[in-house]
This record gives sequence, C-alpha cells and structure tokens, in this order.
Amino acid sequence: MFNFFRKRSDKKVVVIGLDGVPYSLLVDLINKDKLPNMKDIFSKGYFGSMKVCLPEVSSVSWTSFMTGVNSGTHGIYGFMDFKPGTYELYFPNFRDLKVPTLFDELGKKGKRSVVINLPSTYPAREIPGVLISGFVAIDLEKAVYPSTLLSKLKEFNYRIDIDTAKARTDHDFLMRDLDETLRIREKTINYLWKNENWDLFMAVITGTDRLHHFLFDAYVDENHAYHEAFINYYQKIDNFIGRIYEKYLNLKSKKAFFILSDHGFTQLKTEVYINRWLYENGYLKFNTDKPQTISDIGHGTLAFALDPSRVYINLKEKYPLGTVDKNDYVRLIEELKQAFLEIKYENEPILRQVFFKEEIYNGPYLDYAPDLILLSKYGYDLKATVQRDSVFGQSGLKGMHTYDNAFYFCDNEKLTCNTIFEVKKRIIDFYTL
Amino acid sequence: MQDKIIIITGLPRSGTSMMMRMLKEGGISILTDNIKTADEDNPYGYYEFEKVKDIDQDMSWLEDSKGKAVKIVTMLLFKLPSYNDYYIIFMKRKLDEIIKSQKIMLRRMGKTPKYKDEELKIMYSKHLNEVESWLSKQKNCKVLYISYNETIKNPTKIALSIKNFLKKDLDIDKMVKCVDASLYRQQVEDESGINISSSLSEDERDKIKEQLKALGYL
Repeated sequence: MFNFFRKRSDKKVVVIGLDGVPYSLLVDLINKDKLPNMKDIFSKGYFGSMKVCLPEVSSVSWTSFMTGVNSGTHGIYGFMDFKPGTYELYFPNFRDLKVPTLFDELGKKGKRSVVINLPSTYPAREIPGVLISGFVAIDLEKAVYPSTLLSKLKEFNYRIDIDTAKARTDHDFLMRDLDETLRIREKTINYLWKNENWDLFMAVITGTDRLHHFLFDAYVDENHAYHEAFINYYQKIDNFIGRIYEKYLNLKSKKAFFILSDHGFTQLKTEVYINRWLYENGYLKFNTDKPQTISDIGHGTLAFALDPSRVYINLKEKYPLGTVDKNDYVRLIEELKQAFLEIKYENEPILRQVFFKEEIYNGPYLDYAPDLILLSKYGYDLKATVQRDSVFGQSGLKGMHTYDNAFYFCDNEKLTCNTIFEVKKRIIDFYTL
Repeated sequence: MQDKIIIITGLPRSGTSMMMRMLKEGGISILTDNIKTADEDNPYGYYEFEKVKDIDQDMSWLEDSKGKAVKIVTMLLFKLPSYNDYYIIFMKRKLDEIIKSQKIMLRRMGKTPKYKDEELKIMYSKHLNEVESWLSKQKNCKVLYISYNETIKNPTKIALSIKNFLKKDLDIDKMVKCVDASLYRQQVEDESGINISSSLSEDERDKIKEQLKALGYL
C-alpha cells in the first residue's frame, strides 16, 4: 500500500542480458533478416562488440558487470577456486563477493532494482528491490529475495535453468526445455514489471548459452539437423526482446535500454587439457597413477591449472607441497609463458596471449589470482581436467566461450562501452546525466 | 545469569571459535588471553584461554569467568567443579568434516595424523557419547546443542536460540554477521575433490557439480 505514495522515479533503466551471445552472430542473423526486432532496436543507439574479463566465464563476467571491477577487487576468479593455501576446491558464491554491486549502490541513491536470473547471485541476499538468482542457483527457496515472492514463482512453476544434464545429449528435449524456460521467464518478468516499483529492471536469458554449448555447430552448418531449430530459438528471443522493448517505450519516465552479453561464443575445434600438458612436460606430478582431481597433486609439482585457463605456480610459502622458491618465480612464469605460446595443434599455435596476473588483475585479492592466464585462439577450448591421457580431445560440446566477441547496446548513443567493466558506470551515469 | 559460567565446547574444528566470536559480538564478555593468535585456519582468532588446559592444577580463573563465556574442549568438561552452574553451548559438526579440517590444520603445521580417519571417527563417536551421557546427569549443567552446519545455513535462527537459552538480550544482527560463510567451508571432500562454500548444503553442492559438468567444467 505504501508503494502508492512512493515518489515516482523520473528515470528508469532496463537491462536485458543474453548470456553467451556473440556480436558476430547477431550481426550475421540481423543481416539475414532473421531478427527484425533487434535490427530495429540496434539501429537506434550504440551497438558494438565488447571485451569481457578473463577467464571469460559467466560467474566472473556477470560479477564484473555488476561490480564494475576485476577479480582482484571483487574476489571471484571462476566457478570454482582453491581454498587459500590448499589444493582443495570450493565454489565461490554471492556471499563471497567482496564489493557492493550496482544494485547496492543504486539503493544508496534511493533506487530500487528488480533483478531476474542474473548469474552469480546465489544464494540470494537482501538488495534494495527484488532478486531472483540465476546460474548456478539450485534451491529456489534460497534464490529469491524477498521470500514473499516465492509462492508466486512456484505458482508460475518458475525454473532457474533448463535441465542441462539431460539437454546435453537429448537435443529435442533441449529445444523444448529452452522454450518452456523462456516462456516462464517472460511470465515472471511481466508480473514483476507490472507489480513492483522499480528504477532498474534487469533480466537475463541464459538459454542462449546452453544452446551454444550443445549446438553451436547447428548455427554454423546450415545443413545441420538442428539449424532451423537454432534459428527459431533466436527468433523467439528476438520476439521476446521486441515485447520488452515495447513495454519499455510505454514507460513515461526518462529511460535507457541496455542489452548485453557476458561473453561471446565460437565453434569448438578441440579441447586442450592444460594439466595434461603440464604433466607431460614435467611441471605437474601426481601422487597416484590415476589422478581424479587436482587435489591428487604430488611432490615435485612446479605448476598446475584450474578451469578454464588459470595456471598456478606451486610456491613454497603458498601451498602445502610447494616446490618453487620465490626467487625462481619470475624465471618460471617466463619459461611457462614461452612454452605455452609454442603449443600447437595441427601446426597452429593454440594461444593468442599469455598474461601474468598483474597485467589483468589489481586489487586486494590479487594474491588469490592465478599466476598465468591463458587466452586461446578461437576453436581451442582450454580445460583443466586431470583425467585425460592426451593434451587434445573432445567431450561432445560444440561451442566455447570467447573473450572479445560479446556485445553491448544502449539506446543512448553517448553511453558507449568497450568492456564489461564499464557497463555499471554507464548505468549509474545515466541516472546522474 | 550473572553467576553462571558460559562454556563453549565441542571437538576441535567444530565451530567453537566461531561461536565465541558470535557471543562476543552479541554482547557477552569472553574470557580469553589471545595467546594463540589468528591464522589461516581461524582468520578471526581462536578466543582461547590457556589456563583452561591446566584446570586440574588451578581452577582459580573460574571465579573470573562468571557471567562470561570461555572455551573448553570436551575432554576437559569432566574436570569442571560441581559447585558452579554452567550454561554449555555444545558445538556439533559432522565427524567427517571435523577430521578433514583437523588434517588440513595438521598439514599446515607440517604434521601428519596419528590415526586413520576411521579410527578417529570411532574414537570421537565414543568420546562424544560419553560426554553427552555425563552431561545429561549433571544438575548444574544446562546444555544447548548447536549444529555448526545449521549455524552456517541459518545464523539468525541459531542466534535467536542462543538468546533464548542464555536469557540475555543479545545483538542478533552482529551475531549473524560473524558467520562468514566464505571462510567456514565444509571440509568433506567427495569423489570430484570439491569443497564447496558452507552456505551451500551437500545436496546443493552435488547439483552444482552436475550442472557445471554438463557445461564442460570439472
């Protein structure tokens, strides 16, 4: 009841996230007249490619979006990370975030946010507004703030995600589940759009990322059995964007419309198992003949890797079985950098660049950063599994993330953006313009 | 309440330091000498009182602990004199997690465990049964059993239960803020070697792993 008396905001922002959608794919489909709504919308503002973070995974990228800073400051380096001083892994979640989010900062200015399906916000916590966590949220009851919204979401049969395990191998199921999840997501969006007071409204579609992981080859190959289904799904996304945009146009306040992705995608040529390479080249040892996890690391290890592209030096003062003296650190990272850059697949180097941590991270959590971060060429999907007996291989996935092929759009052409770290500031800038 | 002694007890690595911090932040005076300082295993400190270890020889410090909280490991509870009244907050945690956490701590100290995991589990189980059975017979001991895992998942609920138990007006918000889920990670390692942040249940961890595996991670 008291919301009625709340002063109407004179500015509203709408942000739509399309997880894993590459700029090049949108340009291609727009040019082929497959996406009329986005073609129209993108012609009325700034639309361009955008670089994201490293590693270019959703947990880090969406976190970088909502905080505007890099992992050395926000503390999230990947879907999983090493517990400090050990080889044991844990799963960093929203409670591990070290800095306030865009929504917290807007809240301090009296702005209220409705956030739906944003990855890396699980378990949900209080924000000034409404939060429904996205990937990798598991328990809906822990994925919603305020909890009073739960009953409505259950009534909608709300889904956090598709059934990825089943969808990976059953592509008919994949397409059905994508459709149903999108339908329920839109129903939820419509409900909250209408029934909540908000200054910022954000919703993320993650189905696009799932589609790309499992069927990116269906986009590339026009003769693929699922090519038409792939395009159809994108047309549904386009129609969804069109409907949201129409609601946006009917807002009476000053407003801004943003659409972005958190990374791009490209077709996968081969997976590259970094820990296998380290093992074959004498940098990594195991304490068993059949290692199952990186925790099976053995004496004499100089370096080891974590998904997807993070390499750590086994420093004496940092790890229980640390071997490398700090005086040898620089020599070793230089040596590894050169060696990584020389890795070839079918006579082609697989890496574009190798970064030292100080080159891409800064902040109080720099100590937790990997020592080397690898950026591969398109097609070479870096993995850190220890259960492979060759450096190159396949797992059945068809697409891989890219770092420099995400996209960004804003209907205010002055609010341009080149990296995902800038988006938060653009949104806040809009409120202060 | 002023004349009662609040005892925080449990096996090592069962969350006793966390509980001490919660009580301190909640407004309870604590008895500690800060001799054992914070480290990686307990970044916020241990809140121990060295004189507790010599309770057999010297109990004079007990008089100073009236109305305060003091940490005493389970093995030493039997030494408590019967002429005092005690409010005992007994931290319980899954034995697998305790054993794992202790092994990590020992490894950091450059030591190896003396017993195998299964042997330790049997010894601890037997010991806990003995302690709990003994406590149930002590008329001067009021005991509140607190699950470490539940504290991580529902800190507000646990803080309120402690407030009711001690019948003291505690600052619940400050107590809840002490539960830093990013540090208190479950230590049970499953077949994929993942220890997930403690704000997640075991079932959640398993499901998260399945989701990540399906998308090519892990």
